[in-house]
Amino acid sequence: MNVVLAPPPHARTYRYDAIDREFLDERIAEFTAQIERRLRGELTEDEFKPLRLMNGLYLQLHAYMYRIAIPYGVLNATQLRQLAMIARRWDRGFGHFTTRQNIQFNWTKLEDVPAMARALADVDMHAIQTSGNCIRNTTTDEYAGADPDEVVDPRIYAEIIRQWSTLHPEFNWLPRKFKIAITGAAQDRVAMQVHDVGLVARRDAAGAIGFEVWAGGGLGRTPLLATKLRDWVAEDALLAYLEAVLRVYNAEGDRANIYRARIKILVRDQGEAYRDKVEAEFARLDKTRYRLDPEVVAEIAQHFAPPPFASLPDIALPTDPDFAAWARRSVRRHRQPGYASVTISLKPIGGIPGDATAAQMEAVAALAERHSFGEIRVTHAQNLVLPHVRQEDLLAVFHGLKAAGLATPNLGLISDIIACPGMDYCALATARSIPVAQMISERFASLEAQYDLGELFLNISGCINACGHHHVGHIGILGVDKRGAESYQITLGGSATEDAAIGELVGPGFPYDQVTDAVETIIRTHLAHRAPGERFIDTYRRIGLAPFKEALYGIA
Amino acid sequence: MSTPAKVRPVTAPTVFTANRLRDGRVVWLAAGDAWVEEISAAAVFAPEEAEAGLARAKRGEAQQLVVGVYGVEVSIQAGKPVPTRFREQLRMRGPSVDAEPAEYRLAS
Repeated sequence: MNVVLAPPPHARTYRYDAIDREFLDERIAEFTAQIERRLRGELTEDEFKPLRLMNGLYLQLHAYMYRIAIPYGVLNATQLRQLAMIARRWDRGFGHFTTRQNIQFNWTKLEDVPAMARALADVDMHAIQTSGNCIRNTTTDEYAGADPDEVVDPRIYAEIIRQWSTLHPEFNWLPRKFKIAITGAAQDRVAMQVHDVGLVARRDAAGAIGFEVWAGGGLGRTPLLATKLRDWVAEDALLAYLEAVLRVYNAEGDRANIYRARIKILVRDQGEAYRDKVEAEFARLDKTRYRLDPEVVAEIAQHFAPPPFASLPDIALPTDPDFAAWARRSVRRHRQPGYASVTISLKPIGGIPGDATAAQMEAVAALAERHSFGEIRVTHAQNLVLPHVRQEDLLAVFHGLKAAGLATPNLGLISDIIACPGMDYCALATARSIPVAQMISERFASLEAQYDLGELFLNISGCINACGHHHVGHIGILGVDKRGAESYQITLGGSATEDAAIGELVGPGFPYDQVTDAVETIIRTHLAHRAPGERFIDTYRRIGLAPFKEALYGIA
Repeated sequence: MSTPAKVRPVTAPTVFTANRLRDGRVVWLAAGDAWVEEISAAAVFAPEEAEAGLARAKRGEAQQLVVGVYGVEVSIQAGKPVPTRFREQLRMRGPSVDAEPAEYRLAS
């Protein structure tokens, strides 16, 4: 085993204590024994499958896939370096960052999993609850602790929810998987309204922290936006209220029909009755037992205390054209004067969205150590973030990223595509996603044209399960199987932010070799109709579906 | 999410496939009940032999060599079986996109 260096001293990640490590050691020993029994033929696949899924191990099209939890998308440099080591030693030298802020290894061998799990545990990581009908990784804002508009640091509550939900005895066998997202900023960067539960952390007039609670959002076969359950749940009642939300779902969710099993169906069908049941359960719960103790909050908050920022003034950035083009898309204002957040595009033109090689992970880890207090974030749009970079270091960071092939200045543009692994890897997929993303990225490769087009989110899923969030892309593409051939349906007008919306289907699907042309037709239609400065989504909302339909199919 | 496929009569030559237990790699049933990585070496069963072929393939599951056995309809091209469904062609060839970075290829 390689020697793992201590995490960078100022990286604000949750540090395991002795209890966490003991639990993880026991769990690895248990799963290792289960794998050994499976390899000896003492467990059948039917017996083994639920066990491996609870430990994040899927069997995909070409190999096992190991999905590693990155709690709320927060990593330190040591952890990222260890992921690179795992990729190089036991996989094919790369990893795939997902829309759940996790990472997947696509070429895992069952016999290697015990060693991989131990290597993860060495850096306080694991793959537990990244599959199965349990509460999955809670996702949050990639700029937490750095965003100038942040009201409450959501990492603290995401960690509390992680601890509460890990091996929660009542919620480990829910009707279906359960995904929570939390934001503490004015702008929704977590797609809160398309999660099973969405939380918005706020402060009241006196500065006390509480939560707006939404439930019943989700994509997949039945895309639905969440319903607001409560404007305010006080901090100390957060876990009690979540218990009530989950308990009613656990009791009344449809376990007989997998397509009706998510909480969104229950919330949609029961409406006010669901809310009333949650309130009744909440009223009934022993508030002392479920009280979130402020001392616990304070203890966890220490893990996420601001790093030791220097007192620095804001400075004028270099005017070098390459740097300036990159900085325009990739550098973001920070709450601390003299600092900035850097978003790293994992979407090189023609590349695989969300993929990073081991060498790239190591390069980012080194830059994080040198320039960002050792911290890295994973975004739900499958990019990375260095949250706290001195403005005076931005040029050096740019050169470091450029050397690693990570300086494509396309964030928020049409080539910053969210895409699931699709049929190239996924056993559930009905069509490929990655090569469609690559074709579109190459078609719109000109950065000047992309800048002119402005903000545009294009999302691709390779099946109706919608891991690529196609419903909430400004342009969404869904790959389906049409009599044995790939066909791509296009939706327009989706959004995953404060103005969340489910995209509308524009018409019949397009074959694989025509879908890029169809996207170009949509873009040309937008350009022909847009008002000065208008984004694609604004044009769409103003003119509606008809002009796009007409351009694509010759009918209004 | 997967549901059992509807059973329909086999009307084309069929090969049998699965994932190998220890590493998950795609394998095909060959002569002598061996499991091989190259479909070109797979045993091809005529439609009327498909049921017997499935029984043979299932032995691989019972012996805990492979996982998830099923039949794949093929056409014979230049004497070699080629799956008719696109999904199975992808399983046969591997991902249609670059599945390993250059640095890994050079190192391995």
